[in-house]
Amino acid sequence: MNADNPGRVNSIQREEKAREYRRIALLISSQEGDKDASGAVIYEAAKQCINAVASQRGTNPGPTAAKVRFLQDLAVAFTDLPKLLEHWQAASALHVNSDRLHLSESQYEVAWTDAQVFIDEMLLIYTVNQ
Amino acid sequence: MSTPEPVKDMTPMEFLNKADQEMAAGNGRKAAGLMWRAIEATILGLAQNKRIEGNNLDQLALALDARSPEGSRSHMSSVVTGVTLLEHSKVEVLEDCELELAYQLSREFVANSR
Repeated sequence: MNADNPGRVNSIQREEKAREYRRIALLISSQEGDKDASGAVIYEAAKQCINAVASQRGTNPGPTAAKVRFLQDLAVAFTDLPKLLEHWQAASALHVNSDRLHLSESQYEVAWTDAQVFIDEMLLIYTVNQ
Repeated sequence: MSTPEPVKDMTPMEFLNKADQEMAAGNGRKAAGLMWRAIEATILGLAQNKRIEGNNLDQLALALDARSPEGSRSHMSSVVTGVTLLEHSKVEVLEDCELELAYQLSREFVANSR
Protein backbone atom coordinates (compact mmCIF):
# COMPACT_ATOMS: atom_id res chain seq x y z
CA MET A 1 0.00 0.00 0.00
CA ASN A 2 1.12 3.52 -0.69
CA ALA A 3 1.00 5.51 2.56
CA ASP A 4 1.60 8.72 0.59
CA ASN A 5 -1.73 8.29 -1.17
CA PRO A 6 -4.52 7.94 1.40
CA GLY A 7 -7.23 7.83 -1.28
CA ARG A 8 -5.60 4.82 -2.90
CA VAL A 9 -5.11 3.11 0.48
CA ASN A 10 -8.76 3.78 1.27
CA SER A 11 -9.96 2.37 -2.05
CA ILE A 12 -7.88 -0.79 -1.60
CA GLN A 13 -9.28 -1.30 1.89
CA ARG A 14 -12.84 -0.85 0.66
CA GLU A 15 -12.33 -3.20 -2.27
CA GLU A 16 -10.96 -5.82 0.13
CA LYS A 17 -13.93 -5.26 2.42
CA ALA A 18 -16.36 -5.67 -0.51
CA ARG A 19 -14.78 -9.00 -1.45
CA GLU A 20 -14.81 -10.15 2.17
CA TYR A 21 -18.48 -9.21 2.65
CA ARG A 22 -19.38 -11.08 -0.51
CA ARG A 23 -17.43 -14.13 0.67
CA ILE A 24 -19.33 -14.05 3.97
CA ALA A 25 -22.69 -13.57 2.23
CA LEU A 26 -22.04 -16.57 -0.02
CA LEU A 27 -20.98 -18.60 2.99
CA ILE A 28 -24.14 -17.72 4.93
CA SER A 29 -26.24 -18.47 1.88
CA SER A 30 -24.64 -21.84 1.12
CA GLN A 31 -24.14 -23.14 4.65
CA GLU A 32 -27.03 -21.69 6.61
CA GLY A 33 -29.51 -20.79 3.89
CA ASP A 34 -30.33 -17.66 5.87
CA LYS A 35 -31.71 -15.39 3.16
CA ASP A 36 -32.33 -12.28 5.18
CA ALA A 37 -28.80 -12.35 6.65
CA SER A 38 -27.08 -13.18 3.35
CA GLY A 39 -29.13 -10.48 1.60
CA ALA A 40 -28.14 -7.90 4.18
CA VAL A 41 -24.45 -8.76 3.87
CA ILE A 42 -24.48 -8.78 0.07
CA TYR A 43 -25.98 -5.28 0.21
CA GLU A 44 -23.03 -4.22 2.39
CA ALA A 45 -20.67 -5.73 -0.19
CA ALA A 46 -22.42 -3.75 -2.93
CA LYS A 47 -22.09 -0.52 -0.92
CA GLN A 48 -18.39 -1.15 -0.32
CA CYS A 49 -17.92 -1.60 -4.07
CA ILE A 50 -19.36 1.88 -4.61
CA ASN A 51 -17.09 3.25 -1.88
CA ALA A 52 -14.04 1.56 -3.43
CA VAL A 53 -14.62 3.03 -6.89
CA ALA A 54 -15.51 6.42 -5.41
CA SER A 55 -12.32 6.44 -3.33
CA GLN A 56 -10.32 5.71 -6.47
CA ARG A 57 -11.82 8.89 -7.90
CA GLY A 58 -11.06 10.90 -4.79
CA THR A 59 -14.61 11.10 -3.48
CA ASN A 60 -16.36 9.71 -0.44
CA PRO A 61 -20.10 9.41 -1.13
CA GLY A 62 -21.11 8.76 2.50
CA PRO A 63 -24.90 8.57 2.84
CA THR A 64 -27.04 6.42 0.55
CA ALA A 65 -28.30 9.42 -1.43
CA ALA A 66 -24.76 10.39 -2.38
CA LYS A 67 -23.94 6.78 -3.26
CA VAL A 68 -26.94 6.59 -5.60
CA ARG A 69 -25.95 9.89 -7.26
CA PHE A 70 -22.39 8.65 -7.70
CA LEU A 71 -23.71 5.44 -9.21
CA GLN A 72 -25.99 7.31 -11.61
CA ASP A 73 -22.99 9.32 -12.85
CA LEU A 74 -20.98 6.12 -13.18
CA ALA A 75 -23.77 4.48 -15.21
CA VAL A 76 -23.67 7.41 -17.66
CA ALA A 77 -19.89 7.00 -18.05
CA PHE A 78 -19.95 3.21 -18.45
CA THR A 79 -22.45 2.69 -21.25
CA ASP A 80 -21.13 -0.84 -21.82
CA LEU A 81 -22.70 -1.75 -18.45
CA PRO A 82 -26.28 -0.75 -19.30
CA LYS A 83 -27.87 -2.67 -16.41
CA LEU A 84 -25.64 -1.30 -13.67
CA LEU A 85 -28.46 0.65 -11.97
CA GLU A 86 -30.91 -2.25 -12.29
CA HIS A 87 -28.37 -4.53 -10.68
CA TRP A 88 -27.83 -2.08 -7.82
CA GLN A 89 -31.60 -1.96 -7.45
CA ALA A 90 -31.55 -5.71 -6.82
CA ALA A 91 -29.06 -5.25 -3.98
CA SER A 92 -31.31 -2.55 -2.57
CA ALA A 93 -34.33 -4.90 -2.76
CA LEU A 94 -32.35 -7.54 -0.84
CA HIS A 95 -31.60 -4.93 1.80
CA VAL A 96 -35.31 -4.18 2.21
CA ASN A 97 -36.04 -7.91 2.17
CA SER A 98 -33.67 -8.53 5.07
CA ASP A 99 -36.08 -6.51 7.19
CA ARG A 100 -39.45 -7.01 5.50
CA LEU A 101 -39.10 -10.49 3.90
CA HIS A 102 -41.29 -9.26 1.07
CA LEU A 103 -39.62 -11.18 -1.79
CA SER A 104 -40.87 -14.57 -2.92
CA GLU A 105 -38.33 -17.35 -3.43
CA SER A 106 -38.14 -16.74 -7.21
CA GLN A 107 -37.85 -12.99 -6.72
CA TYR A 108 -35.09 -13.49 -4.15
CA GLU A 109 -33.13 -15.73 -6.53
CA VAL A 110 -33.25 -13.17 -9.34
CA ALA A 111 -32.34 -10.33 -6.97
CA TRP A 112 -29.45 -12.40 -5.57
CA THR A 113 -28.12 -13.09 -9.08
CA ASP A 114 -28.46 -9.45 -10.14
CA ALA A 115 -26.72 -8.25 -6.96
CA GLN A 116 -23.80 -10.59 -7.69
CA VAL A 117 -23.58 -9.17 -11.19
CA PHE A 118 -23.57 -5.65 -9.73
CA ILE A 119 -20.59 -6.53 -7.55
CA ASP A 120 -18.78 -8.09 -10.52
CA GLU A 121 -19.45 -4.99 -12.62
CA MET A 122 -18.21 -2.63 -9.92
CA LEU A 123 -15.09 -4.71 -9.31
CA LEU A 124 -14.49 -4.64 -13.07
CA ILE A 125 -14.72 -0.83 -13.04
CA TYR A 126 -12.37 -0.82 -10.06
CA THR A 127 -9.85 -3.01 -11.87
CA VAL A 128 -10.04 -0.97 -15.09
CA ASN A 129 -9.37 2.18 -13.06
CA GLN A 130 -6.28 0.71 -11.39
CA MET B 1 -47.84 -14.73 -4.75
CA SER B 2 -51.23 -15.58 -6.27
CA THR B 3 -52.29 -14.53 -9.74
CA PRO B 4 -53.71 -11.03 -9.54
CA GLU B 5 -57.11 -10.31 -11.01
CA PRO B 6 -56.80 -9.06 -14.60
CA VAL B 7 -56.72 -5.29 -14.55
CA LYS B 8 -59.58 -4.22 -16.74
CA ASP B 9 -60.14 -0.72 -15.53
CA MET B 10 -56.75 0.82 -16.33
CA THR B 11 -53.95 0.18 -18.79
CA PRO B 12 -50.29 0.15 -17.71
CA MET B 13 -49.85 3.65 -19.15
CA GLU B 14 -52.89 4.91 -17.29
CA PHE B 15 -51.46 3.55 -14.04
CA LEU B 16 -48.14 5.13 -14.98
CA ASN B 17 -49.71 8.52 -15.62
CA LYS B 18 -51.58 8.37 -12.33
CA ALA B 19 -48.36 7.40 -10.56
CA ASP B 20 -46.57 10.35 -12.17
CA GLN B 21 -49.30 12.70 -10.97
CA GLU B 22 -48.96 11.43 -7.42
CA MET B 23 -45.17 11.61 -7.59
CA ALA B 24 -45.34 15.20 -8.85
CA ALA B 25 -47.70 16.03 -6.00
CA GLY B 26 -45.14 14.66 -3.52
CA ASN B 27 -47.14 11.55 -2.64
CA GLY B 28 -44.26 9.11 -3.05
CA ARG B 29 -45.87 6.18 -1.28
CA LYS B 30 -49.08 6.43 -3.27
CA ALA B 31 -47.04 6.77 -6.47
CA ALA B 32 -45.06 3.66 -5.49
CA GLY B 33 -48.27 1.63 -5.13
CA LEU B 34 -49.56 2.80 -8.49
CA MET B 35 -46.23 2.04 -10.16
CA TRP B 36 -46.50 -1.50 -8.84
CA ARG B 37 -49.94 -1.76 -10.46
CA ALA B 38 -48.43 -0.48 -13.72
CA ILE B 39 -45.74 -3.18 -13.61
CA GLU B 40 -48.29 -5.86 -12.75
CA ALA B 41 -50.55 -4.78 -15.62
CA THR B 42 -47.56 -4.69 -17.98
CA ILE B 43 -46.50 -8.26 -17.15
CA LEU B 44 -50.08 -9.54 -17.43
CA GLY B 45 -50.56 -7.76 -20.76
CA LEU B 46 -47.30 -9.04 -22.23
CA ALA B 47 -48.06 -12.59 -21.09
CA GLN B 48 -51.54 -12.39 -22.57
CA ASN B 49 -50.19 -11.11 -25.90
CA LYS B 50 -47.70 -13.98 -26.07
CA ARG B 51 -50.29 -16.50 -24.88
CA ILE B 52 -48.20 -17.39 -21.85
CA GLU B 53 -50.03 -19.06 -19.02
CA GLY B 54 -48.95 -19.26 -15.42
CA ASN B 55 -50.28 -19.62 -11.92
CA ASN B 56 -48.80 -16.38 -10.65
CA LEU B 57 -46.99 -13.23 -11.69
CA ASP B 58 -43.56 -14.70 -10.92
CA GLN B 59 -44.18 -17.57 -13.33
CA LEU B 60 -45.35 -15.18 -16.04
CA ALA B 61 -42.34 -12.90 -15.58
CA LEU B 62 -39.93 -15.84 -15.63
CA ALA B 63 -41.59 -17.19 -18.78
CA LEU B 64 -41.30 -13.77 -20.43
CA ASP B 65 -37.62 -13.61 -19.48
CA ALA B 66 -37.10 -17.07 -20.95
CA ARG B 67 -38.42 -15.78 -24.28
CA SER B 68 -36.29 -12.62 -24.14
CA PRO B 69 -32.75 -12.29 -25.50
CA GLU B 70 -30.27 -14.58 -23.78
CA GLY B 71 -29.46 -13.63 -20.23
CA SER B 72 -32.24 -11.10 -19.87
CA ARG B 73 -33.95 -10.99 -16.50
CA SER B 74 -35.71 -7.69 -17.11
CA HIS B 75 -39.28 -8.83 -16.43
CA MET B 76 -38.50 -10.60 -13.18
CA SER B 77 -36.08 -7.84 -12.14
CA SER B 78 -38.90 -5.36 -12.67
CA VAL B 79 -41.19 -7.50 -10.53
CA VAL B 80 -38.53 -7.43 -7.78
CA THR B 81 -38.38 -3.64 -7.98
CA GLY B 82 -42.18 -3.51 -8.19
CA VAL B 83 -42.81 -5.54 -5.06
CA THR B 84 -40.27 -3.38 -3.25
CA LEU B 85 -42.24 -0.31 -4.35
CA LEU B 86 -45.40 -2.07 -3.18
CA GLU B 87 -43.77 -2.63 0.20
CA HIS B 88 -42.83 1.04 0.33
CA SER B 89 -46.45 1.97 -0.34
CA LYS B 90 -47.38 0.08 2.85
CA VAL B 91 -44.47 1.03 5.10
CA GLU B 92 -41.79 3.60 4.31
CA VAL B 93 -38.85 1.31 3.59
CA LEU B 94 -36.99 3.34 0.96
CA GLU B 95 -35.07 6.57 1.33
CA ASP B 96 -36.13 9.30 -1.10
CA CYS B 97 -33.18 8.65 -3.40
CA GLU B 98 -33.92 4.92 -3.43
CA LEU B 99 -37.56 5.55 -4.20
CA GLU B 100 -36.64 7.91 -7.05
CA LEU B 101 -34.30 5.37 -8.63
CA ALA B 102 -36.70 2.44 -8.24
CA TYR B 103 -39.46 4.61 -9.66
CA GLN B 104 -37.35 5.79 -12.60
CA LEU B 105 -36.27 2.26 -13.54
CA SER B 106 -39.84 0.95 -13.25
CA ARG B 107 -41.11 3.83 -15.30
CA GLU B 108 -38.67 3.00 -18.10
CA PHE B 109 -39.71 -0.66 -17.99
CA VAL B 110 -43.43 0.10 -18.28
CA ALA B 111 -43.01 2.81 -20.93
CA ASN B 112 -40.64 0.67 -23.03
CA SER B 113 -42.88 -2.40 -22.82
CA ARG B 114 -45.69 -0.77 -24.76
